[in-house]
Amino acid sequence: MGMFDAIGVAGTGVTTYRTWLDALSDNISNINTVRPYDQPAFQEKMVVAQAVDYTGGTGVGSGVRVESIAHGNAEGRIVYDPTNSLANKDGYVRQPDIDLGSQMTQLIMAQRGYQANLAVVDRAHEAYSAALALGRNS
Amino acid sequence: MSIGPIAMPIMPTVPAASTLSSTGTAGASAAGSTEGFSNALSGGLDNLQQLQSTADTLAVQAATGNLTNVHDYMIAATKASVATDLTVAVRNKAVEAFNEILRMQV
Repeated sequence: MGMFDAIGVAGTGVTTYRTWLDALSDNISNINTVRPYDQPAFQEKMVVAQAVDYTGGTGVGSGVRVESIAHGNAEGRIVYDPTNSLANKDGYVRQPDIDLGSQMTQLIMAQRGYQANLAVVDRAHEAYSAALALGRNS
Repeated sequence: MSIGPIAMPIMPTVPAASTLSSTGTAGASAAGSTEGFSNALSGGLDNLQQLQSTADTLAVQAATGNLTNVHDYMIAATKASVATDLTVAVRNKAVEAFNEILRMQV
């Protein structure tokens, strides 16, 4: 880490929130994806974030990173839909076990988090510029 | 893309600024501290060079459609811009100090 820690750290936050937005986008786009009864349903993707610290615990942290992507319930919801071409002989299909309301709420959180981290970059830039303007008019 | 050309006017000032400071050293007979300043200045320029080349690489990726994170370029460009401002401020202060010494009455 160097001179512009605040900007770099906020950048890791932006990247993480962008990954979250991507995951939510994938979940929402697949919310009506139907799978046959004998196959796993579409699984909700969940971003697992992890705090990182490259300073060896001596200073402030170094931001956040995406540790992994966790998957939701593979069982899904078993729906009776005999007209569906994927239905088994008893008329059942699997739909993903994803709540659209929860996805939309998370979408707002991810969007706000992304914007907040970008605001940190902006403010840090302003602060550094103010420091550089020190004594310029003397 | 506009970051690239900025590097050019900055770089030629490196030898100028360091010779300037070493000339100042001879006059001021404070070898140790000015040596430190010239090291700090060249270290800062190396850092700036690195930040600008990172921003340049990302700008090329943006133009060719290989940029995965839009903000990566903006952040790199912001860092390069702040570093450029800082380096220019340090250089200006050094030149100002040298001129101040030149104007000194003996």
